[in-house]
Amino acid sequence: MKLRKLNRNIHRDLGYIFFFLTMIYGLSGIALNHRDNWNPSYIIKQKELSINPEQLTQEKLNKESLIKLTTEYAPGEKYKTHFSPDENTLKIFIKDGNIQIDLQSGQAILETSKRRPVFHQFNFLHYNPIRWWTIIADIYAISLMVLAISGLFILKGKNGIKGRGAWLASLGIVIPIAFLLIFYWKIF
Amino acid sequence: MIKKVLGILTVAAIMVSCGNKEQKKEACCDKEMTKVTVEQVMENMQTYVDKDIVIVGTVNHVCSHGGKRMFIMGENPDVAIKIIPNEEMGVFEKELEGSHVIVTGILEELRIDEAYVANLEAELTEGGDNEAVHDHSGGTHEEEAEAENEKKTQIEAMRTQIAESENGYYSQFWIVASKFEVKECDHDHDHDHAEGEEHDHEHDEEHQH
Repeated sequence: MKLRKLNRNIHRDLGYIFFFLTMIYGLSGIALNHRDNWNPSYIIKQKELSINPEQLTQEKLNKESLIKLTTEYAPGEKYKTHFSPDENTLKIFIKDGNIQIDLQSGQAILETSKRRPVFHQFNFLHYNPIRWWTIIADIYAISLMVLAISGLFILKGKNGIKGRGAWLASLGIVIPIAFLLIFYWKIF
Repeated sequence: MIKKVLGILTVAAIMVSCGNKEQKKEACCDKEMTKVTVEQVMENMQTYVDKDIVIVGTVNHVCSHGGKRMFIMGENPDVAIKIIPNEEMGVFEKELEGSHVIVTGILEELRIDEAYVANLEAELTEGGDNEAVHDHSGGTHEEEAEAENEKKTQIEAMRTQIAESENGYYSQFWIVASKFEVKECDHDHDHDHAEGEEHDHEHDEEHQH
């Protein structure tokens, strides 16, 4: 009886402590799962520009002229620096991205990237940025296992692990095992 | 009770907000530190291997895949070196691209010989990643397949380079950074180039990521 109460208390308190971390890992997990379809950390926008080639003559490829060009073609953006990746291309770094210009045609791509609110911060933590966070993440991972195991023994009776719980827990085991059989061991 | 919790959360939010504003910026041209340029390091790699260095350059690329790598270039944009944060430093943000930075760290050398390539090949077969052939793919399936082919090509290129080397190995270099500061300069640090100058901005094969 006492053991069951202790188990319930551990489950409850770990749940409280790790509520927010679970939200962080859950949300960023979904975000990172779908990297194929979006950049989870940055909102990246591209815009095609057509720059007058007269503004791109060699004598105009200096800081002052390029600040003016940035103001004209990317209003609101601040010039940072520029360089030429090759003889026909100029890359201007701006506060939120860059402008890559074909010096011959004047065709350019303005790319801006801004941090995606909430996701940028959560993904930062998900990527385990520093050693101290790894320790926290390890503690969280162990706690998740404790939460899962203690969760099995919260209830007694027909909804407990000997009844409904057994069926649902089995379902949770069968799904990953089935995937392993099909995609890892390739039995089917 | 609720008031106490809200109080703690407010204090935590203020601390986080203050922490974010604490950007490390340095007035331009601090004379006290002995700094080297990217060109100086690239010309005398062996001199700096395993030594603490303070290197100055312009960030030309930050890895969008988690910010664990960035490249800084010198006055000559053909010359760039890879920077990796150490475990305490965290990651590099994309906003750094185009910024002038001062990086403190240790230059590390990786000697690549036939035994290394054989191990690498085995690792990659098992689905591992490796700094010597790290790719910059965004992680889509097509990009991953492309990256896989690229890694195979890189392994072939490594073997060719080993065969062509005098010592039976060649080296890759990068800096493991312990600190970096954004330089705020008003004066011109731009990479202006004379007319007709050639600007092949492919990184030197030895410094490929």
